[in-house]
Amino acid sequence: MNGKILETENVTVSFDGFKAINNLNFSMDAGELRVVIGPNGAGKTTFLDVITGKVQPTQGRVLFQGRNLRRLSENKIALLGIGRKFQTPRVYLNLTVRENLDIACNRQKNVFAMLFGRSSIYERKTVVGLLETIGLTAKAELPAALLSHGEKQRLEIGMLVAQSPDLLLVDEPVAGLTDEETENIGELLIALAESHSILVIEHDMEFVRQIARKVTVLHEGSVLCEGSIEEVQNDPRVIEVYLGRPLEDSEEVTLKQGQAELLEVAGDSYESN
Amino acid sequence: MTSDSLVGIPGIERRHRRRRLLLIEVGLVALVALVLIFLMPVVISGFRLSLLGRFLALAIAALGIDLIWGYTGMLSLGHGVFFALGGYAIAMHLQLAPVDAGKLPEFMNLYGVTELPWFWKPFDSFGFAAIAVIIIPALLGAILGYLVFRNRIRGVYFSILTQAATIVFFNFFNGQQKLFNGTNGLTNYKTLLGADVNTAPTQFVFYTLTVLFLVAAYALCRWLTGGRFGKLLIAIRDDESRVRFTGYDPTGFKVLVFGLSAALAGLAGAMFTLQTGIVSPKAMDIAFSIEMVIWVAVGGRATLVGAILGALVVNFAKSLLSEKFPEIWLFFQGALFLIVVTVLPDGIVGWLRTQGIEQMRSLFGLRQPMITYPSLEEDPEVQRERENLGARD
Repeated sequence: MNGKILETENVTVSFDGFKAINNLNFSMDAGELRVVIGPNGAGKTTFLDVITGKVQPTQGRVLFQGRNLRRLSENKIALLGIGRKFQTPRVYLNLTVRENLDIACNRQKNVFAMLFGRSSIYERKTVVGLLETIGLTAKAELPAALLSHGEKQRLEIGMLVAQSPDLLLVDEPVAGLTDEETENIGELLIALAESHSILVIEHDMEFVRQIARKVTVLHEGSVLCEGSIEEVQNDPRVIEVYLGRPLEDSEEVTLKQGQAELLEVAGDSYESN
Repeated sequence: MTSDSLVGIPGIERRHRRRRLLLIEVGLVALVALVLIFLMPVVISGFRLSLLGRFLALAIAALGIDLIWGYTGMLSLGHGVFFALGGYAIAMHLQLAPVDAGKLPEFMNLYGVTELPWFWKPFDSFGFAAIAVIIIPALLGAILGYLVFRNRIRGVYFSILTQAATIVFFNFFNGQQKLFNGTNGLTNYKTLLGADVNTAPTQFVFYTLTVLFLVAAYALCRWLTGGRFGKLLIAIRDDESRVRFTGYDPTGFKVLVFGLSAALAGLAGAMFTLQTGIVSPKAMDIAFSIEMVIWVAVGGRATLVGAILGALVVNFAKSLLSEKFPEIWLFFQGALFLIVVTVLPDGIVGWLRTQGIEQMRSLFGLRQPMITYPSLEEDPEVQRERENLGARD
């Protein structure tokens, strides 16, 4: 694979005049692991919505492997090879772990094949391998409702991989996880990055430092800056959008944490300089 | 049956166990069918048997409701339409069967109709009518479903739409005296395939057929929900947009299931009509469609057996209570629904599968078995450690 796997050209999404994404130009190479950060309301999740077809761009276009995604439905885009993990783990609670993976792994997704087809040996082996990778072999026959939050996160990432997409979109994979679980997820993503292109959206700066090679900062719906984690953290504009806003503006604790950590990191790097 | 009991067992043994359970189930279903066909006529009176036959027909419709509501999460409050269409399809044939070719059914003469309406003509053939019983509701369901699901109408909006459909069809059939005998419905059947429909032997044939159709419907639903297809239906119910992002288009699946459940309702309507001797627009009443949903809620959603059980229990309760206290039934029905919603949210079968057995034990003063969560015998991590430690020895 060479060339760009994902490009957006002047994409604008406006909801009743409010521009959640404003003239966004973004591109990502095949095989890259990219982290997108940005304060709340920067348009990160809307960005994923546009790529996956949940929201149509008001202007501009999104290209996946050079192909325009305009007017394609979510399922068609998923079949093209874009998998998405949601912010809160969305697994099928009433199905067992194995069934969750099986549904994602299935290659023949039409009605007829689902009625009469059976899972192929290849698919069954993939599921067994994935259960091992996400560490849920022992719980394969438990309903997903009985899993802990961290296990659900791992299961959803497993389902994503089972789809065998070329591009994985991962929205805040470590929200609400313990430090140990966070590190596990980080290792899992780094391992996956060897064979997939991955776009991660994250607030947790510790985690971003663990996995990031290249970071893009979104602010008010456009790209503010792009570069390695050190470059981004030292960029005065980034420090301003994270720190320059009055505190009462930030509604969520995660953002405050992000700010605190960014401060801390910025402090560290000053010292080492 | 529950997935918990299969935890910690390797794949091959799990498959064997599943096959054994399936065989037991097939045996049980066959046994129940044999009891219904051969034992019941001896044990209960002819009057009760005819009631049982009608309620078994209703149970077929309940299976359809369970398929779309219990498994796929679409609450249809308009299945009475499909039920009535199945009933009308067979009733139109029953009206035409006794009269000579070119003559009109009795009620049409009353209203001064001189020529048989064009859409009545094919119903002269029994084969056509028998196919129409299933195909007409299925097609209507599929077309309606396609328009609704393609536009991603879900939840309450879907339920309201199905209610609106009931009103449209009710008014149409109620108002067309010349075409369908209006509010009186089609009744006074005489012969079917040369046999007098009002004799006991013919009625017993209808009863037996109903049992067989119910078994077939159960087998079909069991097959649909047991495999991958059924798992996907549950996935659609739990999180439809997740299913989309996984690459499935839910529309086709929902249309198929909705059409199938409409077909089951049509079949139920036909068998019910044959045994009651009347079909009228009353079957398209909204109250009746809601009643169907109550049967499934009482029996237990997404359990299939629960749907059948619910239809039988509620209807027998209804007939017993309305014999003894004619005025009380409606209050009882309301109370029943409230009880189910508050005390047994998973219905009778759901309750039995979860805490029912323990609650019964405590009711009779028996000691509770000790429970750990998760149970040590079933906790996969404990089991795994035991196995692995054993292997190292």
